[in-house]
Amino acid sequence: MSDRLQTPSGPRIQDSLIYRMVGRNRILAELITRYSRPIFYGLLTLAFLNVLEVFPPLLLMKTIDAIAAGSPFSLILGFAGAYVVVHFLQGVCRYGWRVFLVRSSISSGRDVRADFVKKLFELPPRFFDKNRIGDLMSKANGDVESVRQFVGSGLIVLADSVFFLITVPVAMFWLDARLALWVVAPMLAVPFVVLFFEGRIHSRFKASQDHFSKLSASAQESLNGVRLIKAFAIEDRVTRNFEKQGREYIDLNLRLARVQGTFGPLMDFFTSLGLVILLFKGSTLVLSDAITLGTMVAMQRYAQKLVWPMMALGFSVSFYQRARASSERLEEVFDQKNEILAPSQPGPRKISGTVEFRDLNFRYPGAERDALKGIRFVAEPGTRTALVGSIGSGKTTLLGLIPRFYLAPEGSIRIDGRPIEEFDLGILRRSIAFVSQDPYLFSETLARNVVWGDPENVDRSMDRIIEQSQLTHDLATLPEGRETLLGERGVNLSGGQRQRVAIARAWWIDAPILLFDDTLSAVDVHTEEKLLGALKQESASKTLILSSHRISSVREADQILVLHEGEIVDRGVHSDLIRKKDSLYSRYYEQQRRAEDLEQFLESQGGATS
Amino acid sequence: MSLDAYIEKEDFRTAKPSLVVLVKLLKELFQQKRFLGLGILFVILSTASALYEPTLFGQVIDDGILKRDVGLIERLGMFYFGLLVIRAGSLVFQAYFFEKLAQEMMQRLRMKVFHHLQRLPLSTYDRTPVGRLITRLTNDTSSMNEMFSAGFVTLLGNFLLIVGTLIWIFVLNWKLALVSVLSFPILIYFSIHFSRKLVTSYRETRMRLSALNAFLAENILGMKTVQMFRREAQQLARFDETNEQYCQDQMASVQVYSYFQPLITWCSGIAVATALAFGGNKAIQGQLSTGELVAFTSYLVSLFQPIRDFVDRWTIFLSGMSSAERIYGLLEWEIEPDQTKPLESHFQFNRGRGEIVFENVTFAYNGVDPVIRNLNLRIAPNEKVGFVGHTGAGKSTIISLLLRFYPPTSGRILLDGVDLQAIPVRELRAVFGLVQQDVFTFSGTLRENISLWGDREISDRYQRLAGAIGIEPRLDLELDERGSNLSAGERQLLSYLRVAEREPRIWLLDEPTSQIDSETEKRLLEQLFSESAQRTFLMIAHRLSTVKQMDRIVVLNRGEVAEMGTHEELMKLGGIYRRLEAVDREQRVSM
Repeated sequence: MSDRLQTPSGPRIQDSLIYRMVGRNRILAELITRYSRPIFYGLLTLAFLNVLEVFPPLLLMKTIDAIAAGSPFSLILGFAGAYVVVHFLQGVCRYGWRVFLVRSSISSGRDVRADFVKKLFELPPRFFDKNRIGDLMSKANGDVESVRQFVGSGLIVLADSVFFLITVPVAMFWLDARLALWVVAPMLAVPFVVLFFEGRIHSRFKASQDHFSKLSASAQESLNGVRLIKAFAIEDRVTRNFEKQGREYIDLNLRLARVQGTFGPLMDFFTSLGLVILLFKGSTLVLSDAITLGTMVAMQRYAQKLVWPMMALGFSVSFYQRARASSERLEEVFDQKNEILAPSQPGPRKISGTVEFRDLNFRYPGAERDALKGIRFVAEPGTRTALVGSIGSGKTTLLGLIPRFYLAPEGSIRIDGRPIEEFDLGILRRSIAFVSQDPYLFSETLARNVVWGDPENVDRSMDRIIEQSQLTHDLATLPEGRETLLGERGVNLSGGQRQRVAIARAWWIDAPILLFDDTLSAVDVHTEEKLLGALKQESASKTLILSSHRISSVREADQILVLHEGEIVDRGVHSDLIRKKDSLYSRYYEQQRRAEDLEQFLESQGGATS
Repeated sequence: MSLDAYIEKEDFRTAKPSLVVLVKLLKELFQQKRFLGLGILFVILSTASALYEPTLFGQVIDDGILKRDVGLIERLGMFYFGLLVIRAGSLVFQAYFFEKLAQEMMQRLRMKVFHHLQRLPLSTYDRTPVGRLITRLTNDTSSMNEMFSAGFVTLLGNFLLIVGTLIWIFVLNWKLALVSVLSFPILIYFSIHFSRKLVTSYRETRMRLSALNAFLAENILGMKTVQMFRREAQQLARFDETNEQYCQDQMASVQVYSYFQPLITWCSGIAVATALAFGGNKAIQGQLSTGELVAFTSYLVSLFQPIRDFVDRWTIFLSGMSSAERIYGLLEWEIEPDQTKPLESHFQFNRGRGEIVFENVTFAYNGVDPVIRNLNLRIAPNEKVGFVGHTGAGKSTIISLLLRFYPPTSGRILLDGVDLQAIPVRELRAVFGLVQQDVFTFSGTLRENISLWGDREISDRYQRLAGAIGIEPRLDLELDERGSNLSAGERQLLSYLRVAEREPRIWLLDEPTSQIDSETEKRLLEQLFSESAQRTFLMIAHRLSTVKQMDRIVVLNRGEVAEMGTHEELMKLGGIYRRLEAVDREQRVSM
């Protein structure tokens, strides 16, 4: 699939006629250009179909006039035959435009959707912090759909009504110009009707849509707060409120229905007025032998045919407006800057794992103060570095800078002695196994979640990794063992289980750098101990940086960095740090020692009573 | 790899609209007799006026023009104008009444679903993602709405038009009619054939789209993980594959239409041509008037438009039907027991003694690993009891059991001597006032969040409690999402005041005071206790400073009572409590 939509395609598309014709809209112009050939053929068949539409009334006219003139039956049979032929050709055209235009429409839907999703995968994590999932999903659905509809239905309706408004009046004026003028006269009111209703329908439609979002939000609220609602036994009141909102929604919908339901019949009425005039004027002309009866009948058929294109013109305007608004919403995303994937010069292909921070200061875009200040340390392969600090001290931020989720000032982070910017992002991230505190698992089997980062790897042993991650016991409790489906659609794992699956997933890719961001927070003390033991084995030659607020997780680290409000306030090994009286670390330690003490005590109590 | 895991199969169980659901829907429809009757009346009126038009033109030709009766032509012209007014008017009213009908029906159904959701037991909420339930409430009712206002009306109108036209042309000239509709059996055969195909491909398309969306949502949520493991290309390839299949499915539906539309055109061409040939022959022989022939061909042409529409609307109808099926499916989910009973004897228990007794209570969420083990405990009327213990000791479970969010696995709990299971659940819950750890806020003002839309005005109690915290609450503040514009003090006040306003017999405090410092917290509780001296209090606490003021402290460990007594007694005992106390003190120093 091509990704032409998202790469600014230079002056070419912007200079094209199509670009100007669709109101300088890049996405619409791109799509129409891409499918210009089938669209052209489609429009051509549509035009041909509209020309054919002229003939059936003419044939009817000829037949009636032939009957009146007492012509032989063979002539009438000939007209009937022509009638069949015209309809046969019409049928072929109807097939043709559908195949050409509707297919282009579906294909453009596919293309926009694919490009949009591709773009999402290329956007940096910052983007997803700012944009809500609901909004992105509605772009991928509603907005893609209205762009697609313009390329299909919108174009069809527009072209159909334009062609019709040319062919049918031409035929009418050719038959009898004066009568045609009379019949068409009331239709001059149509543009005013359209103008009058357009704005009203649009604003009422929007009001109803907006209220629908409110109704959904309130439904969501009542379900999220169900515990409170039940505890307070206020189901009745919540229901009453929801009912009231539903009523308001009904009222808005009916307001919309009133204008929408009047618009169609009114259009129909004005066009049909022409028929009333025809009835008077046409009869007079037939009686005075100015025209034949057949002509009058043909005129009637033509006038009836004009109802549709009049209304269709209105539809095509709203198709266009919706598509325009939607493509603008999509472009907001397409215009976002991608992650910088590759350096200007090809960097090293392999990473051995020395991570160095050189006086790094970091501030989140738009934030008022630095999240990290003067961070300086080196983590060598085969060593463990631990980050300790309370919530908000900067541990997660620091770890997130290494895989470049956020961009550190250039040169402030080095890997194997080279600035991190010199590495290809793919190679960099493949060399890092990152486990976050609240890891995300996908709707796949447990086994597939484990091999997620490298499904083709056959050298690794799944059994061993599952054992090392202390998942063996959990597998026994899962309905289908390692084939159990996880994620949104599957089994809900506990926080600790999720963390351990994520650890297995990280080990599987066998990366030289391991980053554990408070990964063991939901794991109990015994399992933690075993995991730490396994970690020691698994990462003997690797660079391990882990953050935790549990002393037990960090006490054996080769260096411990104590973070406080974004700065390293203390560093050293455990035995040195606890000796510093009244330091942050020794206070943590003291506090947790007591807690652990208690835990052990409770353990012994529990063991005695159960 | 396909995205099959993302398809919620139960949502696409049936390919055919089920008869049971259809009957249920029709019942709903007949609930709105007035609008249904009016709507149908106007449909008949508009259909009749549309039906009469060709006949009128036939009359103009035969009796007016050919007989040169100008007066008749003028009368018929005026009549035609009147007919147009009637047609336009009845179309307007028809649209309005059917919209009204659809909206009222949808409101009823929406409320039914809402009501049902409110009555589902909490254990159902634990299992089901909230998003799926919301979809039922909003999207499914919307697509049913579309089915009614767009699908149903058009189907009904078209059906009437087709049947009416057929009858009328047979009345006009049955021989000619018979010859003209010779092609109909073919058309009907193919209509059925194509709609069957449409139904299947339509279902496939919907399934594929729902999988695409589920996959996309998951990948947006887990984007960091995708990017960290460099899985973008693979994930994108999976998306593209299904996207392509989705596109092919859509193409397949279009293909069906593409065959169907020319077929209708051909049939209509053949029908009209036959009528022209046969009718023309008869007209020459003088057996048929020109007006009749014109009218006849008019009818034949207009017969095919509703058939075309009919097939078009079929998918709207189907999508509405599958939504209806999901909605009715949900309405069959089991609700909390005796939720249906009204809250009649509410005051009986709320004025009771306020005594709670746990008798050999054991409870396990999954039925296997007990969180509460054989708990025996009596809480005297107006006693103030604190529960402490480390995480997982079963403290919060006690509250869930008292509120009957879950039934005990064995044993029983008595309120004023009556088994909880025997008290209507909402009546029971009205006895308790729960102060939660996380304050859930609804959209609306702080005042509305305190009164929770109750009938009474907020009493002046709020000033006393606010005074204890030392804040000036902004009662008319419009709350942001999750109440993020509330101050910590206001948040705390809200959680207490909301309960205090209900004047419950028994207070349940679930780790209530995490927002404010211990001094303020102490003042707030003192104020609360002095106002509600004649009330029973159960408090679960992390911070021991909070429970010190209670009459009795229960130390829970692994679902059992480990120690019990006043603060002083427990300190003297030197057990778990004493150690907890030491940790607590340490924590307060370092935080």
